Amino acid sequence: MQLPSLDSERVSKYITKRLKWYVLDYAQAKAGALGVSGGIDSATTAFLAARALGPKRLFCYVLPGRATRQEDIQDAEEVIRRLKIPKANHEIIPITDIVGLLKEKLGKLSKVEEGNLTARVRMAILHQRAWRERAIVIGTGDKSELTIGYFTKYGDGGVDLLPLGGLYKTHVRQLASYLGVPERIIRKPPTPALWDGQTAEGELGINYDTLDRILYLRFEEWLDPQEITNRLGVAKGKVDRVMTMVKVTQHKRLPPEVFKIGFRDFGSDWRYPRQWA
Amino acid sequence: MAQIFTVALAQIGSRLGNVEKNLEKHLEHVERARKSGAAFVVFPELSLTGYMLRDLAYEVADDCKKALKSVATASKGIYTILGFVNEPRPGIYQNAAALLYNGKILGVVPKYYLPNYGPFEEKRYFKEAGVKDLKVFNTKYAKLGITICEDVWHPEPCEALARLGADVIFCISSSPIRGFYGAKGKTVGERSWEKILGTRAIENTVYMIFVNKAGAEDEEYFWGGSTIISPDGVEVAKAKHLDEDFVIGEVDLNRLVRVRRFSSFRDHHQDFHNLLRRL
Repeated sequence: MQLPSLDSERVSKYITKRLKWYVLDYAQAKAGALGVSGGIDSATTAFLAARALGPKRLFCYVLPGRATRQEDIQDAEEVIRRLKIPKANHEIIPITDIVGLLKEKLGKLSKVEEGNLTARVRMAILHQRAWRERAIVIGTGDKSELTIGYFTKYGDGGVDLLPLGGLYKTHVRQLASYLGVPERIIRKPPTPALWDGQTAEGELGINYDTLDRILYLRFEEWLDPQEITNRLGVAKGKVDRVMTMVKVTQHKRLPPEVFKIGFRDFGSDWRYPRQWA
Repeated sequence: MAQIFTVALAQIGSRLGNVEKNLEKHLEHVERARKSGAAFVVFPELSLTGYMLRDLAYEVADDCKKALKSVATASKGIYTILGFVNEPRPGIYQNAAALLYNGKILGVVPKYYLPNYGPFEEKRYFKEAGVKDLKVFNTKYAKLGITICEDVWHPEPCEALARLGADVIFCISSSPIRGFYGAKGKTVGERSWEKILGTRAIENTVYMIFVNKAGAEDEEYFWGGSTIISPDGVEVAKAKHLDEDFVIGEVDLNRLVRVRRFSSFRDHHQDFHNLLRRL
């Protein structure tokens, strides 16, 4: 069983159209801002955003940390070069020292604590720069990662908009190819690069091809885990582990819970649309 | 009755809850259609308010009432069909269509089938129409019926309107993108709509005139693709996919005669309906 195919041309037109409308018309912003890591998601997002807004209305920030590899910085710069982002619209801001200062004040941090802190420092910088440019922060997360909660809450999750949020990683790869994202970026193993040697598939214990098919069958075809196991020929334990990741990270995908007191409260029966007049 | 006339498909997007802004767009399109000599100008479902209203559905009816008067006044010599939130009794709301002409509201038609699945939650907000609401309007150009979106996914409303004499059935819609998969790039929803509209036109030998919204409302995006389908299932006009558009298409009532002479449309076994009523 394969994921349903994607018409990259039409889907990219669709996302581009929505991005343009959201940033310029609805949000009344002057531009979009995003962090470019040298990975496939941020590269694909940057290509789409450049199509939607034009390179002059896109601000790209490379924010290398302690665990960022030199080749990723080069790839990020290549994306910026290919998109012809004007010099005034891109910047490399190393964050190792910033995170180091915080570590000095916070004492010894575990690997995950430092990783989350790093992601949140990036988020804070992106919002600061975006505010200065009257831009909104365009996130780069894809559907696979959002669904299993493979992101830092208020870190890379702290964005205004997620244009790839409806696309599995498998589909992002297809779209990246169509858009002309450099092959090297498409082929290299995805990583949040929050600590040395980290790769997404290594940390998750599953490759994206399998993960995407499990997620699609469970949540779009509504199959139960046993049926998914039968259809894909993967161990039941693997499917169960994915389901657990989805469930325990539900809080990351929703606004904070508010305890009900009044007649109408947030998250309960405060049901106004996002676009309110 | 004129045998041949034109219909303007005003495939617009709406700002959620902003009736004032949406009214401006309606007035522009009515004027444009009038100048082009169209007999009808048709807007999408809940065009005055936007579709994904959620609890704003409770708060826009008064503004709609005022806006209807403005559009009716602007509809000089042209029939306008639009979508709005109707409040027939205090605190009771309907997802409704209005037919306006020469300063008058000729009729209001509420929606029969309220979808309540996926992103839709219309039963939370609206009261559904019943058969007492079925109306065929006798206009200068044609006898017509009006349906709203989900109504067409069930055979009865169109069948009843056709049997009551409608030769043209308008379907105003807010159909969002869903399942944007597949090599040919059409969403699951679009493929289904094409089949359903063609079926309704052929089985009832009527013109089906479908006007969908185009644009974003919260996470949803309405895919446009408004169309006119002739009684033999041929697409005679088509608006853009995804974008707002304004398309004028021709309706030729002579075609009804030819098609009905080669159709079993006139046959009707009441026993089936008696059986369905019991099931």
